[in-house]
Amino acid sequence: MIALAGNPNTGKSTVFNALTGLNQHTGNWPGKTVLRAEGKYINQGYVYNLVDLPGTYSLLANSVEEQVARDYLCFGRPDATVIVVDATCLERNLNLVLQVLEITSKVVVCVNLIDEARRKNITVNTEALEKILGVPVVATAARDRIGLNELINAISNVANDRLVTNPYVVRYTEQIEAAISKIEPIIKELVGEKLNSRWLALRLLDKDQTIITKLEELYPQRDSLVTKVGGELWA
Amino acid sequence: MGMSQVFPTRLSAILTEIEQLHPHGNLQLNDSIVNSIYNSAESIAQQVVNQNEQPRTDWDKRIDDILTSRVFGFPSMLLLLGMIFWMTVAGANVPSAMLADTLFWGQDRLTELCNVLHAPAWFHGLFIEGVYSTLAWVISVMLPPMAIFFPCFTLLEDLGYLPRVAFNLDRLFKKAGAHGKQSLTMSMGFGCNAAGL
Ligand SMILES: Nc1nc2c(ncn2[C@@H]2O[C@H](COP(=O)(O)OP(=O)(O)OP(=O)(O)O)[C@@H](O)[C@H]2O)c(=O)[nH]1
Ligand SMILES: [Mg+2]
Repeated sequence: MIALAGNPNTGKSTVFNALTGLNQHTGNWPGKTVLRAEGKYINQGYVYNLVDLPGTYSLLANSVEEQVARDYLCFGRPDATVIVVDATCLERNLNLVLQVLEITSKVVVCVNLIDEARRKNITVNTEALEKILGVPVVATAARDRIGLNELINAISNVANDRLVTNPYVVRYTEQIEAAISKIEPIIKELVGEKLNSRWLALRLLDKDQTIITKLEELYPQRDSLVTKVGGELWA
Repeated sequence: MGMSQVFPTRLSAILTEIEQLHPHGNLQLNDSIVNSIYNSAESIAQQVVNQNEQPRTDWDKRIDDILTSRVFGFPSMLLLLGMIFWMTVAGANVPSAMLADTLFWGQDRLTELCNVLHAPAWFHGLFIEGVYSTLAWVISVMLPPMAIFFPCFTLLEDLGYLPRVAFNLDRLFKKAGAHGKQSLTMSMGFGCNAAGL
């Protein structure tokens, strides 16, 4: 399972179509994809299920799309996540990349619209970016199918654990870091390796109600279930 | 046994601990988190992006600082959006009137045509007075504002201003539990109201 995330209008659906041969709607305005679309492609005998997520500027779950994308990345546990970024405004796009890297380390960054960037005289040093972010970075022009083979290779390396990533970690203020280091160990004890405990610690410290609700949904009240069954037995 | 290890109990224990760490949630966490992320993104971008037209980047940066600063952010945003509304409303009147004139001139011609062809009255009533003139109204009232409003928005989008609006309004809408992006939808709504005038 491979997820496609990214800011709105960066060419996620175009990448999706190019890889799957499907015909998802693409359009030159943000918010074209609202619900997630799924498709698959085959590479070296493996079937990859691709999920096209709605475009978001962040993952702080302030809107429905953000929540859909975030919940998928964190609880859907894709084998790899491709973040499609716009080469012409990398800085804005990096905000999302950094947030995704907090959730999952199995990431490939796809610097799309590289043709557009060249036209605007912007160059992106993908090797340097790769070093800093600690995950593979591939330059593409999805509409012209440029760079897709490299992208497919990078995806397969990350999804099959042939490449161990070393994702960039955003450092917060001392106060927050201190709070995280207090909370993180007990969260790790609770969720194990299934979820990223640093990220979860941060979300809980931020009192993110949507995450708390989601956790309660995922791990239902087992104690109350036990008492109910017991009650029936006694009745 | 494992009973004390039940998930919800342990989760609420953690939440209690967090409550003790910062009792009233007044660590200003959200702002601070967003800031750290933005700063990291900025410094990374600086290291890997090379914009070859030097003066433009400086300008961009300066405009950006003004547009998203706390002091000037809101006034400049309101000014810009206001300007667009004004342009939409004022600018649309002229072509609106022109379109209406041409289209209703067309209706008159069609009426004459019906008379020449001796078309039944119900036909004329239904198609010409009903369908055609409704369409004519809708087109002449809606099209010009749309034709002005959307290119303006596209322009702002190209200039990268819309995300900034979203960023600006983020704090404000946060308090209402909503999101800055809704401002875009909201102003679209205004646009339609303006078109409705
Ligand atoms: N020049 C150029 N344009 C591209 C490229 N990739 C995509 N586009 C164009 O960018 C626009 C947006 O593409 P989409 O694939 O719809 O973007 P998206 O990320 O799915 O957008 P949302 O679903 O709204 O988040 C379309 O008009 C594409 O044709 C590219 O590599 N180069
Ligand atoms: Mg799309």
